[in-house]
Amino acid sequence: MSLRLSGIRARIGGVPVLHAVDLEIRNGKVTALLGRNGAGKTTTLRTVLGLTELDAGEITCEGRDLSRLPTWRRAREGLFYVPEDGGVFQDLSVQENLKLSARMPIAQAIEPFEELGPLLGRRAALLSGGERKILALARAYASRSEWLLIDEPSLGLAPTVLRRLAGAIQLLRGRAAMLIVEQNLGFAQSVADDYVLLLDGRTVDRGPIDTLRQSSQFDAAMHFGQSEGGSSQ
Amino acid sequence: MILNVLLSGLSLAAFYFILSAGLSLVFGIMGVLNFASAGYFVAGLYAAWFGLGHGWGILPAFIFAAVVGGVLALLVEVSLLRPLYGNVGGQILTTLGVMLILDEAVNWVFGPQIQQEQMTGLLSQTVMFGGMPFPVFRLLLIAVGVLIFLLLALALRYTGLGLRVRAGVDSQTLAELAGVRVAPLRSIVYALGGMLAGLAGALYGPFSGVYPSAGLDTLLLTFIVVVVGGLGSIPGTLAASLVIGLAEALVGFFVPSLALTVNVLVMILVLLLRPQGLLGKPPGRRDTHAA
Ligand SMILES: Nc1ncnc2c1ncn2[C@@H]1O[C@H](COP(=O)(O)OP(=O)(O)OP(=O)(O)O)[C@@H](O)[C@H]1O
Ligand SMILES: [Mg+2]
Repeated sequence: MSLRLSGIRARIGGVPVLHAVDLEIRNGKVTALLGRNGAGKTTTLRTVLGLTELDAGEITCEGRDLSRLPTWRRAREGLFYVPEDGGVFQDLSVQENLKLSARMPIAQAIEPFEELGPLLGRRAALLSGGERKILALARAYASRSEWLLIDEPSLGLAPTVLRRLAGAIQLLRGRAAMLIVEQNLGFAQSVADDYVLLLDGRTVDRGPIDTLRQSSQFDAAMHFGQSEGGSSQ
Repeated sequence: MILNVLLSGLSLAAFYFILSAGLSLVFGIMGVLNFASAGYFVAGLYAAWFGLGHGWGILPAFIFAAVVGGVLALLVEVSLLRPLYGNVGGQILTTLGVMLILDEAVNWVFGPQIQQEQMTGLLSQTVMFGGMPFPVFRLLLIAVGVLIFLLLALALRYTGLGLRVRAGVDSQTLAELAGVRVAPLRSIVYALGGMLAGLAGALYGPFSGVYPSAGLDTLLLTFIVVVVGGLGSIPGTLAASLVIGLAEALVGFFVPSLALTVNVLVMILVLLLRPQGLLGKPPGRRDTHAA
């Protein structure tokens, strides 16, 4: 059970952004996609969902090529993308947000997310940042999606909320493969099994998360001003 | 007396609502100001006139008007607008072209003269209100307006299709990410907009007679209602219709010389105080996830 990106190239507005992205995520595992600002992490996730057009390469899900399918078909194939802002429908209630993606009764969907119970009737625009992230993960859970791609879940959250979020991610890992973009290395190390390093649109290294700091590419990929190309900023 | 004026205002409001609800929904899900709506309006007007002229009852004639508007809109959406998806400018020009072609076609087939027979007769039946005769047709108009608002509001809130449409109005991209296929939703909403415009055309006939540029004559008004209400919002369209309809009736009664400009005044006032319209969403909150 794996989702594999191989030789992904993509451009935005004619400018090449991804040059060679290769990675694989497996069921039950959390993979952290790491790299500094502008490396192409968000673009990688969007390309997997078909929101950014693929120039070359393949996106295969258990051997089947997804790269020609429209976004809504990829979603139905079990790909669930949580953008940085949570990607919830602002004008819909919490309950309606869940209902749109749910493949289980709402009562069951919010069992692990009991803080959403009293909020079901509230318009999502009125949620706090943390509540919105929890709602986003609850939608992912309710959808029974097998492939979760989550962009910077920790962004802007207080430490207690972070622990809550880490718990939710642990819950989801049992039934899905996850690719998580993170800037917060501590958080990434607490939830991920593996890392993939992205540098200027290329995946340059991967390995078990506890060997991250030994990677020969770690400094180049994570800090500014040390890449040889240096053209992405 | 004042009851009469209020009822007139409500019937105007009902007409404005039916006229504008489709346009507002279409804008919500397609981002397109749909000029062709004026074409479906004229088509519905002539369809109802045709039906009544052939001895049909008012109900079949007006349903026929809605069907004609809806079928035309569906054909236009599938054949002309869908291939232009993502090109909003092209779509707007296309709807403008469709409006001009439909107006011209009606002019060519039926001639430019105003046809009064059949339609204006519908206003002759009256009931007494506060000692004044009031056209039954206006009461009917209010009832139809209320019915359509309830149907739209309930369908949008409580059906799965309504939920998907609202999701698509909120954000196309997020809807697709949730596995919703947005293209057929656009066709359905656009056809519904055509039906409402066609019905509005039929409802307009008794007041104005039947003539080719009727759609153009009401187009500006529709835009005013939709802008005042907030693009894409059905409750907003209702609120705007009520404000404008009642203002027009009251001002028309007390200061007849201002009757025709009151809607523009309302629009200027609302836009100054609330640029997004009465119930519209604030600007800058549109689809942030789009490609
Ligand atoms: N809409 C756009 N138009 C032009 N260039 C863009 C656009 N979106 C992103 N880019 C560029 O593509 C590159 C990769 O962007 P991306 O958002 O994928 O980076 P990221 O790794 O997610 O960064 P961050 O950590 O800041 O979120 C950047 O150089 C960025 O400037
Ligand atoms: Mg990013």
